[in-house]
Amino acid sequence: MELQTSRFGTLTVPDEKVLGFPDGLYGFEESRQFVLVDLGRPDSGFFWLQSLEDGDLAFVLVNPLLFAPDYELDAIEEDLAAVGASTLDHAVVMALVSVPEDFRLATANLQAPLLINPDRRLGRQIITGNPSHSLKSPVFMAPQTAAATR
Amino acid sequence: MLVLTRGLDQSILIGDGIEIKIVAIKGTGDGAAVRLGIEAPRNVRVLRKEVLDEVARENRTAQAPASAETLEALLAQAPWAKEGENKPK
Repeated sequence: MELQTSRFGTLTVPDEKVLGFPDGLYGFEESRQFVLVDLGRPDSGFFWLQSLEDGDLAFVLVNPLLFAPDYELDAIEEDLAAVGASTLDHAVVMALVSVPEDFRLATANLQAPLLINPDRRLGRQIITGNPSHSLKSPVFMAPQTAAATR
Repeated sequence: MLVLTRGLDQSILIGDGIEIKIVAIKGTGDGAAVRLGIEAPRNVRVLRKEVLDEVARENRTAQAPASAETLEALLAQAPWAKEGENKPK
């Protein structure tokens, strides 16, 4: 299918690349179909999640293990079943990134990551229920630390 | 919604293995709060309801910036990407 997006212009999306989010995302419950878009730098660890229903709606995703190597979560059965996965091994965990004006202050939502089953093309935003998982976890070093190393 | 009145140390049982107990009652009037003790199987998620609203709010904040320059800068900043460029996949 062809999709008009505000960031990428016209995207041609093969059906098999469409990710279904049966419950949408929190606050975006009607957005049920997305596609993962490479940002053109496959090693960056960042992806776009572009809505198929709304060309203006897109999110930045990141693999949390790249900056939080100890990040662990227990996915409950209901969440795994919703993406057709029998265990967490069959799913990929990605976090939504909030990017402010100063992109160095970007944060990832580790409290409510996305559980994605690449084989079934299904995804769900889950809430880990772990109080140590932050809604706003810094992705990069604190700017003052970064400045000190320059 | 099922509405029950419970006093201190009284419990409600939900389904299989879920128990909610009034552990303490503090204060009066608008400032009153009830301390709840919750027993639930590991497989059942227990959350303060506000968490869902907080997540929705954070999702709205996370809608991607429209600027390609900001995104490019974000990608360039990733320390793992800089290391990864020279490593075989």
